[in-house]
Amino acid sequence: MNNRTSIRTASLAVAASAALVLSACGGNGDDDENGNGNGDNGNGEAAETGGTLSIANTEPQNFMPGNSSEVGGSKMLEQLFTGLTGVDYETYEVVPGVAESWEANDDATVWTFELRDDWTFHNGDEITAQTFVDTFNWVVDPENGQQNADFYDVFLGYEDVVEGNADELEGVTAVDDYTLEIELNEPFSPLPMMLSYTGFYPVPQEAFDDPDAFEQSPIGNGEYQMDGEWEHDVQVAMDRWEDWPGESQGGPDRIEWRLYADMETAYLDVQAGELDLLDTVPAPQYGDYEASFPENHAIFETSSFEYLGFPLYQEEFEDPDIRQALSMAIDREQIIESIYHGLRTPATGPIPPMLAEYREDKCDACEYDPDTAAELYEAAGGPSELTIYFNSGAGHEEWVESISNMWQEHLPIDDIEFQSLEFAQYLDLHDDEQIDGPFRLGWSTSYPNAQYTMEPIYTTGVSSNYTHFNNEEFDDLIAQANAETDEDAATELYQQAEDLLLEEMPIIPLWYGQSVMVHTDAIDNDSLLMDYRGFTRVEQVTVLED
Amino acid sequence: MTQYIIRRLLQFIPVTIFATLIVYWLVFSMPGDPIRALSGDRPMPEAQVEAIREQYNLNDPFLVQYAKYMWGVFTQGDFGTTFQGRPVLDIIQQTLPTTLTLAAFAFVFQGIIGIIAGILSGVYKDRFIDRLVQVSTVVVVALPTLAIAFLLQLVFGLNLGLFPIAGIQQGLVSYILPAIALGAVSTAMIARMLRSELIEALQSDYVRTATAKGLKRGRVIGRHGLRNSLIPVVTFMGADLATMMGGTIVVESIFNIPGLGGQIFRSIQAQEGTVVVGIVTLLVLFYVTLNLLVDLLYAVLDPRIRYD
Repeated sequence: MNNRTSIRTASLAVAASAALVLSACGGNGDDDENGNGNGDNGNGEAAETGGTLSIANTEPQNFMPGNSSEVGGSKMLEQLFTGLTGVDYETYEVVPGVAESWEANDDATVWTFELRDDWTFHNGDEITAQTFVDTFNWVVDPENGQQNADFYDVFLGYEDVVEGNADELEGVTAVDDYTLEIELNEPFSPLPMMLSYTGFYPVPQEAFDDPDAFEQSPIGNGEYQMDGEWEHDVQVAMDRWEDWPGESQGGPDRIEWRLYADMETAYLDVQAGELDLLDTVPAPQYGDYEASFPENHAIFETSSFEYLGFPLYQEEFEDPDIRQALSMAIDREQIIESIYHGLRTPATGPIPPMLAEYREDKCDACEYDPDTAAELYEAAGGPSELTIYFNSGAGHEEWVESISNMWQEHLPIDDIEFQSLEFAQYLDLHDDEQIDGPFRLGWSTSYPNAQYTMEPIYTTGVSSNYTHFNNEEFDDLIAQANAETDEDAATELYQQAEDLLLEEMPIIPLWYGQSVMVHTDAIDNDSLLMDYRGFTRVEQVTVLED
Repeated sequence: MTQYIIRRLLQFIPVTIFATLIVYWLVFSMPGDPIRALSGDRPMPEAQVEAIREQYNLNDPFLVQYAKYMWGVFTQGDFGTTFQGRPVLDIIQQTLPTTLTLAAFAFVFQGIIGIIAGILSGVYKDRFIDRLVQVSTVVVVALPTLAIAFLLQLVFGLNLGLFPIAGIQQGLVSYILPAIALGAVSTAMIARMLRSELIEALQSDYVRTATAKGLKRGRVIGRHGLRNSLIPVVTFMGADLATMMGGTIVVESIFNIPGLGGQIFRSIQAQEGTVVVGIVTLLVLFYVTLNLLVDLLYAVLDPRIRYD
């Protein structure tokens, strides 16, 4: 981390010249305020601001915070909006956003957030506690069909609103203009971190009046504001909002998100200098980027977690030994080397490496050990025929085949079939409990907390629990951890829960994602940072030239 | 003539209904629940799913869904919205001009190059220029559009830097490479077709007569040979302009052009019946109109053809 910072400072001098020219052109009175925000980080930082960054992105599905559950839209909304809380992307700790402080009662069921009084939306509308009350109620209201509604399920009164028995969330109240109180169904200490997520951003009245029009040019309260409308399949342009009350990290004055249907095209555009930055080099270029961009590339780990789950409702997978044996017979390193050019991180559990709760050596069954695997499998009487399920058209064919070869080679398995299905069809099979073999799924961390990496997938009866894992001890550990207000104690409980998962092994952890960025000479390589969601922190990218 | 046009226009109605019905049914019968797939690995709350299903009439039986949709289209010009709430008409209005521009470029390109090459090749049969056209057209026809597109992008976009690689932000010049990729195969087809037609025509009696009358060679070729040879070429180009829409799916995605082709591809993947049917309705109308125009054009080229 230190090394990174010092390199970044060295590059400031270059950035400064470009930025000075630009701020001279801009010449408005807001420069002062901008400077103040940066002052905390040292004198030179203010000059880092400037330039235009063009970066590749995909066409968003939705452009409304409450409804944005995919990366294309979320990446951009993050720049347009600021939530109650935010995330420090170096330490993954929760930091103030619109709320300057917060506290919980003893059992973490009632939370009080003190809001700053100087926040407005880009259009000048003031942001008060009532803004959040209105936003939260609107997102949860089933009539508005917002995909992020279920993130609110710990809020008191959630069920009533969803079932149509109430119009408003009982648990959310504006005590006064700048005090927001949130009461929960159950103790939940990760709340402040969860509130940094896209689905909790405040939206102005315009959004409720005409959501469709709002999505064409969202008005937020973030560091950047829309310049014009969302040009579908072409670009979304945003300019620095000089009145932003938050703490600026420098970064470009203007961001142009170019929307690509195919990232291979974007890759060529970076090569030709038409595009500054591509942060998700597509797999076919994994073998090429080092040659084409010897200096101008960077690799980051993400929280994107890929696993093979077991349908625990099928008899032949009831024995944990069988599940462990299958895991041990997979040589993850070899698959990563031969199929992904080394661009994956072998997984040792659901908690990804960038989180504080991560531990490296905790999963014995994730170690490649074909001999033990064969013994275990044989002793437990594992099935001699298997079917592997995965969704088609997403590049899973190769590694699934690799794994099936390893299983057939090391374990007493005669025949393995593949079932690759369209995603919609695939999910239907899960809902109907018609999966009868290991199945591929993935999970990404929406907010950086161990709770989110486990609770929504492995606790009894939750909607994403495709394995039907049902373990009271695990549920208890998660509940205890959620109720624990002491961070270290909570960490320990989450880790215990993870240990239990690895012992029971309802899923085989495979690998975490890695993303390769490539860029032109216009971008300072040392300023690049990608977060746990795989989002480039564009607000701190240094543009050297335009 | 008027009667003929009216009769042809009336045929639009069953063709449109039949084509949209089939497409709607195809999208409808794709396995899996599109709403369920919207949110990926993390399922949406049941209440939200229901709200969306209700909004898009997805709980109705197939024929009711189709009827409701078509009723909206023809009574209010309402082509429905995507699952994200964006009106389909908006999408069409935004993507259609782009695709039409691309198609127009490709059409002009294949018309000019194809016909010139065809004439040269037919007139100078078995000479060097003919061999050149023959060989190069075989190569182009053999290459898939995908490969041609990548090749153009790499050579003229990246290595030589003559044209933009992707997008349409640099204006009309952005359309040149995609148009060539889109029109390449048809250009070759036109050249080859015209060559053989022309060779045949130039050996026919009426051409010999024209030559015997002492007409200049240019006039013989242009007025007597070429005019007859162009009939199949015009038929081909008319039909091709319509099928070109299929080619745009590939080309638009490679060159990142925000057009109808890319949109229809994404909508099929997302099982968005409304968008697919909206665009297909439009394409069907486009296709039958073009066919009509082509049929009418025959009379201009060959006065013997009558429509009554």
